Amino acid sequence: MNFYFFRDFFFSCVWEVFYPLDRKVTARIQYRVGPPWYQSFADLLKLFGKETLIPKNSSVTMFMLAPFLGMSALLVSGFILYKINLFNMPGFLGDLIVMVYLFTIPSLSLILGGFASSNPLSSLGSSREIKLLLGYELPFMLAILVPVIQTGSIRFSEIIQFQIEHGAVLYSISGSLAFIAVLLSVQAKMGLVPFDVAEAETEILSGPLTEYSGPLLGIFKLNKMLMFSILPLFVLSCFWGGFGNVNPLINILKFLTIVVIFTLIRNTNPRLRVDQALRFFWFKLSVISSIAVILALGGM
Amino acid sequence: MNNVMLNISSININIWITCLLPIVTGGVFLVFPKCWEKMFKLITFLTIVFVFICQILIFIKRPFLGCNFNIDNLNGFVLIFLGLFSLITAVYSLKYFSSKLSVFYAYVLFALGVSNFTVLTNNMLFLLIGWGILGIVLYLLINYASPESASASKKTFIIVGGADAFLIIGIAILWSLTKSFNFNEISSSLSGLGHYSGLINISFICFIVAAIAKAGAFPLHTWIPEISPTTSIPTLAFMPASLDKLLGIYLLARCMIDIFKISPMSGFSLALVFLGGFTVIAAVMMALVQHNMRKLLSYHAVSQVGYMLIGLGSMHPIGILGGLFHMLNNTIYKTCLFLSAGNVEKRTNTTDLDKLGGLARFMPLTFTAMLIASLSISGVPPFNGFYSKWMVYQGVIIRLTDTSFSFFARGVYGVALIFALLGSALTLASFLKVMFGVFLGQRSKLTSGVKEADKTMVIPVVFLALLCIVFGLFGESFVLKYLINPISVNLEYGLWLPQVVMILMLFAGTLGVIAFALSRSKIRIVDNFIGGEVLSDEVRPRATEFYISIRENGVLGSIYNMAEKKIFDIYEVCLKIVFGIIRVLRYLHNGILPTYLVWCLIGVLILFFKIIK
Repeated sequence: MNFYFFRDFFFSCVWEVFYPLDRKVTARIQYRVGPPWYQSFADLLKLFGKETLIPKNSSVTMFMLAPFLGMSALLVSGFILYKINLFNMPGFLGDLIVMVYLFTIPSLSLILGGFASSNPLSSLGSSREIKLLLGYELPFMLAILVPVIQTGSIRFSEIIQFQIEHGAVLYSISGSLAFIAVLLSVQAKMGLVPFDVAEAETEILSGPLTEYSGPLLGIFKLNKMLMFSILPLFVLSCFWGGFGNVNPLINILKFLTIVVIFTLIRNTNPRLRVDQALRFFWFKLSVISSIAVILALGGM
Repeated sequence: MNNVMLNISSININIWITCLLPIVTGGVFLVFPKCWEKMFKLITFLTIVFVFICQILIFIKRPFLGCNFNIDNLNGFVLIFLGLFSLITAVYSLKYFSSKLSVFYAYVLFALGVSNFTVLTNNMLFLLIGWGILGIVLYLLINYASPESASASKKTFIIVGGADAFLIIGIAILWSLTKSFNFNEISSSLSGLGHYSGLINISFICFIVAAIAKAGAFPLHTWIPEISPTTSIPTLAFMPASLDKLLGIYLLARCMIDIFKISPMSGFSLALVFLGGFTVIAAVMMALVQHNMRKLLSYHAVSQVGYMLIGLGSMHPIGILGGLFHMLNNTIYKTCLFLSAGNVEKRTNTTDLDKLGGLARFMPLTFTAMLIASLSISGVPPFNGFYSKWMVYQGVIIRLTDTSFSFFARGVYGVALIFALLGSALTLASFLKVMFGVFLGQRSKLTSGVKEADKTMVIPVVFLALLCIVFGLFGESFVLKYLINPISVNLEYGLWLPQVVMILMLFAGTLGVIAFALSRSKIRIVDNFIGGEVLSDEVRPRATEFYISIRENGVLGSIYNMAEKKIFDIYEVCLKIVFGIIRVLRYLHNGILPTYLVWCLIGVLILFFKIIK
């Protein structure tokens, strides 16, 4: 660990923000021109200039620390994926299981923040977020098993290497089924429509974020943006060979395809209720992922 | 029978200190009057500390302990933890109980001495004696200062005692086959007895029953939730959360690895893995809907055993190490959780999640410790629970991806893995409920103006929370290397560098805090915004309402209802069968003289016919 390590870490933080693309694509779908590319960052900067409001009855320390908890976990997981995909590291800091667990921390931070603000609406939003987490975690984990079974490893470098040699996991039957499941559960992980029950502005103000304002809200928004580029990279590494192609253009195109798929799902579906979402994940998507796992065990 | 004889002079000094000294001290406490309370406390602490030091010395130096005792890699670290948890329990109970402590301390000392004896021995008969006495000590501890737990303690005694009977059968079978009680002799002669595999299997099942009844895995777990609402918190933290887990899993590991040498291809291995997965998911689903913190924690004490069973069942070195490591981690965070619950209960007189809320401001240390322990038990990196779960998962994944196993076996491993992974998400969910219900959220009538618990109750909790972090960060470089596994096993399958990740997370968090500081944002305290409504106790959201929509979702509802009617409780089922038989017998013994005379007449007639023929 030295200066270069932290420098790389810093670069990985900067590289990770692909959020403007989402707003541009959304605008195009809705026949609008859309804001300039820097609009999201300008919004963020504006939030940092506002004052911080803290509710009187809240648990102050938890309320203040929650957004940073999610941010640190996201930055570290982004760093791992960045190093492995762009620098061909043989192995770096953590494997697939570590990553799956690190990805629960952003949701955790949102939930704890909502609880700590001692607002009934925030608590309601947080409890919805937990239920959603329980919902999508099952199909997500089942789907993640498919690349593990096919490649026989839980290290990212070996998963990517295997896909370079034998073709991507996505190109098998089990892989493509699992890919569908993972896309939809990651959609919920990022809290995007149709699975934005936790924030549901029209029902419960904005759920866990109701009491947040100023820089703390900015950090939560930043977390959202980070997730929007880290999770697609994770899906890419597990199912589509990561940045393993010799042609960097194709790699970037693959990455952008996944990002655009998320935006398309977001823009073409209405919000589900939390019980509908649970039923969808447990009784529909999990069945698909289970079939994928069984096929993968059978070698298909 | 020569090796059973115990020659007093041949007992090693180490055994005298670790096993007999606490028992004798405890016996003295029971005999002498209870008025010398202060002296008893002092003696207890001196004894436990002395025993603890001796345990550490035994662990480091590995002396020869005489013919019936042995120290090796498997029981060394268990030994240290027995002493550690006795010490923590003794410190914690100083302020917890309002009654005289000498009897409680006597039981704790008994438990310490007998469990040392059980762990150190390599003689089946001694193991059996220790196991039996521990059941009695458990019964006494449950009843201490809690008269309401009489029926629950009876249930415990029947389950644990019944499991002892299985242990006797298992040992008897082994003796009849090998004519020996010594672990090493048994295991070396078992390898030549392949043609008795049926009997050996029965014996192994008997050992498993004894081990999982002690550790509390499905289906013999029901005594832990049963005793939890009424018995004292130190007892809960001492026996079901730490000592019983250590001993039960120790016995299981000893049987599987040393004595029976189970093959990973065998049905036992698969059955244990599946049982583990099922225990995780069943117990955690029950924990999710509990309204009482004690009961919720006790269901988690059950569900965590599942991970240990999965790890041991996989019979892969990484999985086994993971299972044993998880056993240690579980004792640490589970004890921490129970004791924190005790702190809350001591100050508010309740553990009902509906009645609590907003305690984080008033009990910051308890809150921090319980938060860390909750994150550990839910497997959030970089805490200790994640480390051991990660190892257990690797053990299973190696088996899952191994194409030399049959499709069915790999399927079972896959199911267990999914149960375990989902189980940890559900664990997180139920602990978030606790966090909200007790510490975060709105204050209730009971919780305003509560003070932090006494020093002797906070220090153990904080110490255990620190241990959670230390074990998580230095899992490989300290715990695995020096405590569990002095001979290194290749851990190269997965990859996890907790220290670097921790530094990076702190670094990233600091970046965020610096950005926050640079923004020079003004801080203002305001009222909650709930759209103009008045914030009163009526609108306070209850943590217990969180998972109603899960409970009412599809088939789950009917399963929950059946579970609450105790249809899956093997004890209740057996009870019903026994009472059914008794009811038939009652018709015969109705206390009316003519009925008995009729029976006598019938008997005489039958005898008559027999003789005449």
